[in-house]
Amino acid sequence: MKRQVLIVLVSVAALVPAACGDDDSDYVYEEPATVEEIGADLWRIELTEQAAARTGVETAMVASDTVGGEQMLVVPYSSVMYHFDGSTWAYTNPEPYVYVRAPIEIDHIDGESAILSAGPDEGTAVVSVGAAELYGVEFGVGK
Amino acid sequence: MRRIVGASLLRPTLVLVLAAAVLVFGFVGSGSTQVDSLPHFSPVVVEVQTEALGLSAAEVEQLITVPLEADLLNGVAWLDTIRSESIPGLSTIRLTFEEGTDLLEARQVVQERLTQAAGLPNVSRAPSMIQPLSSESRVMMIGLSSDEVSLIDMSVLSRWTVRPFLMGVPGVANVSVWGQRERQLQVQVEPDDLEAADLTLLDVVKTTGNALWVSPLSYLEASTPGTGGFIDGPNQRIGVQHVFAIDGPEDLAAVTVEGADGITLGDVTTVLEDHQPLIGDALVDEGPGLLLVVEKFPWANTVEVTEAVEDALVELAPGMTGIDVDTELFRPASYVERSIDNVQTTAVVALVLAIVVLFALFYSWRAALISLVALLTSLAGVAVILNITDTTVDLMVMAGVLVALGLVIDDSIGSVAALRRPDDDADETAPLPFIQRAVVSSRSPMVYATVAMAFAIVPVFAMEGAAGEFLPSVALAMVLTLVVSLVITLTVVPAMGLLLAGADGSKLHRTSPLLAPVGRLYGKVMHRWTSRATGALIASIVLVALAAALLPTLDKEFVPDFRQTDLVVAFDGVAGTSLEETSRVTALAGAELRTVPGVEDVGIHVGRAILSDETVNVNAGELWVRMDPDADYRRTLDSIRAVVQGYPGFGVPDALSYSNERVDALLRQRSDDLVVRVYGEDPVVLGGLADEVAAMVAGVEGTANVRAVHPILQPTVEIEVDLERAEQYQVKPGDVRRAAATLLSGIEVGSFFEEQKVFEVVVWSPPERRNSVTAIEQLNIDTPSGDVVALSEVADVRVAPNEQVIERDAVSRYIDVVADLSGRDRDAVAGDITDQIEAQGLPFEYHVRILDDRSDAAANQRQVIGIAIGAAIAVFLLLQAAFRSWRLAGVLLLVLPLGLVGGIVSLTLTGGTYSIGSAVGFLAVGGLTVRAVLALSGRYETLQLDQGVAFDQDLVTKGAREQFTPTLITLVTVAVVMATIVVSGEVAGQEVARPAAIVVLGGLVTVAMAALFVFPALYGRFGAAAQPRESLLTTRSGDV
Repeated sequence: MKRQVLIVLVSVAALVPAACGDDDSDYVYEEPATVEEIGADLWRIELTEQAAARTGVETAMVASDTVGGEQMLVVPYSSVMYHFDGSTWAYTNPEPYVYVRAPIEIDHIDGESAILSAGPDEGTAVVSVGAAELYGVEFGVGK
Repeated sequence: MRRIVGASLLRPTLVLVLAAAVLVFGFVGSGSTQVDSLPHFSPVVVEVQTEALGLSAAEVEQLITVPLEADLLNGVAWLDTIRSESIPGLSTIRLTFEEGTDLLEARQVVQERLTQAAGLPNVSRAPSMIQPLSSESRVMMIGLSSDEVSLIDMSVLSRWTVRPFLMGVPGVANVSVWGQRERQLQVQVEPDDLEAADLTLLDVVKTTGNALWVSPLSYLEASTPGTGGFIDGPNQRIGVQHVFAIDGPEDLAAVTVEGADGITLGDVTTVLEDHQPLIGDALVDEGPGLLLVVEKFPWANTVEVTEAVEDALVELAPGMTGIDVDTELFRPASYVERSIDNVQTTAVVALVLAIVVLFALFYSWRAALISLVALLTSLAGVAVILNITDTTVDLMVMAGVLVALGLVIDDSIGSVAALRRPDDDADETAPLPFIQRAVVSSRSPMVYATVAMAFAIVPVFAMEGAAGEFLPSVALAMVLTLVVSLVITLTVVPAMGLLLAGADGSKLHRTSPLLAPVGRLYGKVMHRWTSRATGALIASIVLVALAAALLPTLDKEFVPDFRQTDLVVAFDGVAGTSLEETSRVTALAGAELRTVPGVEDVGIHVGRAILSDETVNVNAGELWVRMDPDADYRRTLDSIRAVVQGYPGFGVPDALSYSNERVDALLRQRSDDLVVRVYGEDPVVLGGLADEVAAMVAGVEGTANVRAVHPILQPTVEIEVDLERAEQYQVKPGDVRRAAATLLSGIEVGSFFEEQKVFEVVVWSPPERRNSVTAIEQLNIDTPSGDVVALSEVADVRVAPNEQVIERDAVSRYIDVVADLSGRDRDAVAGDITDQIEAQGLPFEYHVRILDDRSDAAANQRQVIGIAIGAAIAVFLLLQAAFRSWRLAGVLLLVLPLGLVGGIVSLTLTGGTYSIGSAVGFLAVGGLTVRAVLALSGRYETLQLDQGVAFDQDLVTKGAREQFTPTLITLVTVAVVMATIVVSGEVAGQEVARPAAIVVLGGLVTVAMAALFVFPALYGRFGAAAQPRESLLTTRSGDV
């Protein structure tokens, strides 16, 4: 009986210093962005408010201008994303923190502006800063 | 052994003087020992980099990588694998050599082949062989920033002054500079002005080149600058020297264009000072700056090199006014220094506590002193040997010494205990022969124990991966310490014993009032317990089974998380992202990180630098975060993770300490069970074939999660000349390429000199004429008739996919088809796949290989287990020789796992992560168990053979009671030392030692159980009367 008590005491005494001094991490990863398929090759990206603020996403309106006698759509060059197959896209911003990729056809680039022959309607908000990050969220990042 | 002890006893003073010398040298010399965090753990690799700014990945592969690989580097001696990466602007070829190849010989054979590289087309710089680097190559990062000095001027300073100076510091292998902006004189062609003046691009190139002294363009007259010469007069020979007249852009702009009347360069171009297109950039102190990354040779010491570089910078400082030099950005030497501090503190505290325990439990200051001196001299001896052999003490060596420390304590206490003779001992032998016999009889079992330990660590040398790289250092350090300890206990202990034991030899023996009651209690318990052998056996088996059940619950994370305060976070953006965008976001992340409490500074570099260790494009960046050493490590780390993982579009970046990042990068085991590599050249055919192979593999039984890993694509502008349309203007495809190359990429037409420095002169176009697809389409191409035509008129311009990185293995492109195995054996599945491929056939010049077992962790594990079983058998045979009894050897093999049980329990209770430290701890516990049991057996034999005690239950009790005191003192002292390490917390320098100490601490409980209770009972039951013939465990009057 005494021996057993002795053993228990010694075991506890040996393990107490081992048990203390350990700090466990309670960090839980929260996704800054989610991607959802909402149609045929139509995807909806939603950023958390914090993620959008961090990346500094900014938007600009699709404008309309007379270029060479024709009425053309104009977006900032910084909203243009080339897909690797050559197609061109811009990210629209239908709801706060929600972004949807929309096809555009570029007629030509003039300085800081891209003159489009086809694209979202005039007045639509397109992402002018941060498009590359949204593209990375949608298509995934490799190495 | 008798002779060694005898010799020491005859000259005790000499022995003690030598011991004192060892002590002094050991402790003094430890100040100059080289300390580093990890041993060198990368395989022998030679890397060849070739810069080709402006070439796409496919062109780099075609024009540089393929010729280098196939013609020059394949077939090099001792080559194991040849892998390459071609990214836009850079070709990297990595040659890995067979294990055991000498690094310098490998470099020699590669260098011989490289001298034939003159055959490469003139689009790149010459291939360079990267300097040999240590596994943790980065030894320091220095940030340069300034409010007054421009980035270009800082780059000039760094290129011509700072970098060469630092490269001269001993131990520095390379200094790569991120953000380097080469000072260039740029002649930016204004196409409208040029057209209006009726001049061509070639006119501009010729004029600019010929205005200078030297030009690399062979079709210009300036390619042969000629020499100044001298005049020979009657009296004097006077040399002639030309002084460069062009001081800056204005001078160059005033030069008249060749073939034009009165039109200067400045009329048709904009001449200015600017820099080359950047392959990477650096952000220091919240703004753009330069980041100098200092790398060291494999044999250089981190702390030494760091201090030398810092001294060099102090020397340069007066010439760098206006520039802020930050040398604290990344300084792993600080971690090494902190580790040394922590280990020293822990060692001192442990030593003090051990002294207290020894004196309290021996109760004879002489005995305690001998024991202490033996312990310290052993450690000093190890230090001296490490110093003499110039071994770098790293975390692994320290762990090995720590583990052996427990056994050294056992040695020193056990050997002293053997010297103690009670006052009432009626033995009439004089002190000297008594000591000799006592020491030899108590140390002979320990020789067996040490040899058994040596066998036990043999499997370690067959392991691969992180374990295989680090454990051998630990094992060797352990064995070294044990051998030194054995020598000390055979020489110093007898000598001191003779001098301190007194005339009747009894002064060493005192009974501690603390131990006396415990000893008596033990005696009484043993008396009742010795008959319960079967019960003990069953209880042991149950405990071992329970512990074995706990084993699968353990996480295996072999490499510990090093407590370094320098962390690196990799931000990899989507392929094709611009430098501007990556810099923008990493700058935002860096600024946010600076606000996290506990973060002292952040340095950022994006993309790569010339001759750097990063083969990445501008879509990748790294943030280097420096933490405050006094901050709460875990909480700060969590906050950093929360910040960097909150940035969308960069994957899930992790914050790792640099050592962990390097171990991951170099030793990462493949995570897929099965990899089928499909080799071929044409990307389209290869892609299709990979998909076919993937479908076939998916059809084979036993595979799951089959997928073909296609290369990542990014958009690339392809310009393809339409021959028919070009013919109409008499424009050749080569004309289009050269014109587009000059206008988009720039062409170096010459150099200008200033103050012993050389700068490039480049003909280019203004930025707005080369920043969009439209701009490309509108590029002016000169026609032979003198007209100008837009590029889109003679060529198709389109955006098409191209690989981001082109990886090659064994001189061929490849695509991997990866799969997990489920249910079937790997060899069976591989066999099926091979059969099916043979049946189906492959296109011409394509082949398939199933990656071999060397990268297969499971196969290596089988091999190691096989060797371990062999080692266990060797140990068993050794023990049988020691015991002269098969049954007893078997008993020990059963008792051994029992000793480990406590370690498993304490490991599970403290988080259940099995790491290198834990493995080391288990080795120590095993060693302690074997020693305690061997010591007890030795005592039983001595009692029977020397004192004629009969083999019965009384013998068991008497022997156990006599051995109780030394065993208990050993256990308590070891416990105290280990507890000190554990209590000192998870600090730098103890990442391997602390888990080891936790395991040992828990194991001590079950070692006590095994040695004090279980083994005696089993000895009584399974042992037999000791044979009076000469046993190996004791000595008689004959020689040993």
